Amino acid sequence: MNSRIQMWCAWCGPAFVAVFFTGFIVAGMIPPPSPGWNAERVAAFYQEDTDSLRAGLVVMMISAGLTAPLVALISVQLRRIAGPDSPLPTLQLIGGTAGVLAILVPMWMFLAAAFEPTRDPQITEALNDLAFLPFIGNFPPACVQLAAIGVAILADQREKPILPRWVGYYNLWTAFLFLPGLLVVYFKDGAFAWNGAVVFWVVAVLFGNWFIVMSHVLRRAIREQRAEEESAAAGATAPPPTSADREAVPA
Amino acid sequence: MSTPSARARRSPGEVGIWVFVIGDMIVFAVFFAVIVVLAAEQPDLVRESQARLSVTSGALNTILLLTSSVLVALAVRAAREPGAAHHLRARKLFGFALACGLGFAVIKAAEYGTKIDAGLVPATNDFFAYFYVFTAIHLLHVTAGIGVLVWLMRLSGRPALTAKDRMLIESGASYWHMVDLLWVVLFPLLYLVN
Repeated sequence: MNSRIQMWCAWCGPAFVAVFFTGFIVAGMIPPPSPGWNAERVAAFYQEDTDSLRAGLVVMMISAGLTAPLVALISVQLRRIAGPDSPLPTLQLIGGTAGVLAILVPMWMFLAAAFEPTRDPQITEALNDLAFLPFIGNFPPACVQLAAIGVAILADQREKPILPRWVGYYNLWTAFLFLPGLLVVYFKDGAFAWNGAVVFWVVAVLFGNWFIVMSHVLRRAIREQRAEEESAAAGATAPPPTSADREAVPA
Repeated sequence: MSTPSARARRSPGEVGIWVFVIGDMIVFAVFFAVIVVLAAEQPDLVRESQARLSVTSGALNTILLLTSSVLVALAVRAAREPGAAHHLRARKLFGFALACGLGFAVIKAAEYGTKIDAGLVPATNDFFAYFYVFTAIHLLHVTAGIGVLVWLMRLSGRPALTAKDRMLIESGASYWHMVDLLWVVLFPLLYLVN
């Protein structure tokens, strides 16, 4: 039963990516409004197509909830890897929980700007800054979460690790690339602005990719866990799975 | 490798480290593209700004990293041989590579100091913004690499090395070669090309 719930949690990863980016596009924020725009231009952006903007933002807000099941699932599997007295699964959970808020809170700020788009443009611009800076630049939750996952996987001493070691390196690398997010505070144009090549486009791809990859490797881990439990239940004499068995697991 | 299977011989180190290495190289390729685009859009600004960089410290750092890469390659070779004497040699070679890495960081810090004293800061213009950010991100890689080299020194000094130890040594060495390679591209792009 749990393995089935775990599977549903894993599928929330790709579901999040689909819902989140659909909302992003519907809101008209891909590509994002430039941080170099003046107050009038920002206000015009909020006045132009306010209905789609609000709809897209609401969809993105809903998508934040879809990250939670995946985070919970990662904690369960990390607990299997690292054992009951390791702080790493909890650290992952703290990062992932803050991650839900990292999407949710900026959405409320965007929605506040879109709530009354005809107010003083200076105020709309300030709300827009207040939303975009944390939305793109809030890297610590994700870095904490991914570093915890990466370290837990690489410290796994099992002959056949529960999650493959490359996933550990992958998490550390992705965590590392979220760091330039802090530069949004300093740049109004170019690669490090909140709409720039490095801070927005590279990170958007890595961010979406992470949910797909984690979902994929977790689904495999769940299937292997289920097979282990079934063979343990069938009789403790069954031989341990070999690499050939692993290859034979259907995709 | 004590168990030379086709799989183990396919790539140096564990396969996982290549996720990190290739992923990082792709992102640096984006950085390189950003510099090329800037040079195409604002050639005068890039030319004038480049003239104010110190090619000497950049070149010196290139030599340091290339040397360290050779030392690391020799150390990996020494660690492959059986016997405590070879492993001590590997440890020593990793130590020299570490010294080169520290030298790189010191020169970089001195270079930043000189530039800031001359009033050239990230806010000066787009070129210097990218110069500081890209070299700082690279320096962060060097700093992580220094940690990796310290770890490799500890690991390789053991009298007996397991196949897994050797795999970890190769993984760490692969990371260091990547740090070197990224600089070898970053240096001409920032300091020379236009």
